[in-house]
Amino acid sequence: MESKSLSRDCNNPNPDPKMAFHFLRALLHIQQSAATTSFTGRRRRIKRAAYASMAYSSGARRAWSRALIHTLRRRRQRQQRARTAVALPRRIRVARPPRREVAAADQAQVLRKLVPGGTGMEYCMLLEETADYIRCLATQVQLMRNVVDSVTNS
Amino acid sequence: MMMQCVETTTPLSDHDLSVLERQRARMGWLQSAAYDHGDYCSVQPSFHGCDGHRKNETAHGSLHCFSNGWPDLGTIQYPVPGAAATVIEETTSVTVSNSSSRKRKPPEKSKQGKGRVDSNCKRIKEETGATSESKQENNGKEASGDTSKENDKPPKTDYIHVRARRGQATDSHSLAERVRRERISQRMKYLQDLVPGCSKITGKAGMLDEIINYVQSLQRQVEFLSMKLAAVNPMMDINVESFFGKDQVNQACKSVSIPTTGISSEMLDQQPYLQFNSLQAHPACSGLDMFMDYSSDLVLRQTASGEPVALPDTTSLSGSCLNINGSTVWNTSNLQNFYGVEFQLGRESTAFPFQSLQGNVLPNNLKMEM
Repeated sequence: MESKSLSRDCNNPNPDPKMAFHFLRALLHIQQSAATTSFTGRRRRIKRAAYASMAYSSGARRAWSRALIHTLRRRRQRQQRARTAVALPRRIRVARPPRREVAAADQAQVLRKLVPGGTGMEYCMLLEETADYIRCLATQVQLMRNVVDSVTNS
Repeated sequence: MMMQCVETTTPLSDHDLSVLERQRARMGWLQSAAYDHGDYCSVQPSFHGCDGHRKNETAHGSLHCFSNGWPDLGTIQYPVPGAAATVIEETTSVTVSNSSSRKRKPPEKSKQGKGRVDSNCKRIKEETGATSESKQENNGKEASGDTSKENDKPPKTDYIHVRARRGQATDSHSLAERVRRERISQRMKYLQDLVPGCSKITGKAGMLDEIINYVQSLQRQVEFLSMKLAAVNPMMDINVESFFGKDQVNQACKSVSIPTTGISSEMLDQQPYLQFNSLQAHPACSGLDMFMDYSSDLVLRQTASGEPVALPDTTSLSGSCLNINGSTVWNTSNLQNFYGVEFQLGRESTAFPFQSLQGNVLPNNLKMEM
């Protein structure tokens, strides 16, 4: 059953147009407004747009896309709050000691960090999400590569 | 071949036995632990008719494998060389029939069946009214293998079907653990197909390593490509701003436009109307040829994966018109697909049209919108 659903996801007729559409649309927005912003800011925004388009095209079925959307929303809310609340004093951030990297770190833990929303996920579920995430990420990379190719070549 | 007729004749008496009763009876049978063939056959009435067959078979086959004549026995198969093929066929057919009625099934069923052909295998199949269950048990390769132990799953859920081999634990925890491991290996197999170059690696640790590397490389690629795009963007911006001034003029004369992705924000409001006019001017826009040969500001390109992607062209200076390139490669469905998407882009310039996108993919919907 699970393998069937996975394969159905894989054969999902066109996940790509949605993703392409969202990504290009976001690119357009960025390009409209980001003429003033710096290069790194634009780069981050494009990266965020790429992940967001991935997440939105995958929908809310997947845990990783939900996690991505959640983090993006939270970020936006934080920004808006920062924009509205002007005079509030900033909380001073205490620098945490850097986390020790366990030498023989469990590979599952590494994978958990890589896949959004993977922390606290069951291992079996994590593998499933990883598979879907990899699929979407590969599509996104292909799309971005096409865009870059077209922009640079022509 | 003789086993086939045994199988077809037997499974009549067990339809009314519940699983619990069967299991209890089995446990009792295990405790009695009688090694004699005669005893078993006397215990089990429904196999009396086939007794001669079975004796013959044991004489032919190995002596270690014997039948526990239990009422719910469907099949008893010995690894007689001629019957080996039928064993495999039987297992696969059983798994196929099970997959419809069961939510999850252990994936290695057929594989195990294949692996066991050479060992002494005995398969027990029982057919209940709604679901068919297949049970396999290994008859043991040891010399003392005649105490064949049959482990059944506790009937806690209807859908998970677990078989335990001889010597495996049968309490619910270890059974659940076994199911989990099977699922994990299934996912791993799927991931192995997904990650390039992962199929050669054996071992879970190496595979996980490879998967992690692949994900990391993909994420790095996204970062890198976004950097490239960011480097490209400002130039694109200027170009877009420049050509949209003349855009309306050119649309008036050439009357074909596809709203680009490189539209600046003030153009977004005008875009639906422009496109509306253009599409009305050419209502029969099924042919792709009419979109060709316009000076290119927008390259609409089919990606390697067959999806249309709209790409703002930065360097072309002829400017003011929009174009589709590569029209020979296109199939119309993709193009119209793209139109649906882009039409939505023009219409609702603020909201995210996720839901409406799917509806507009069809060309019919597109024409309705026109």
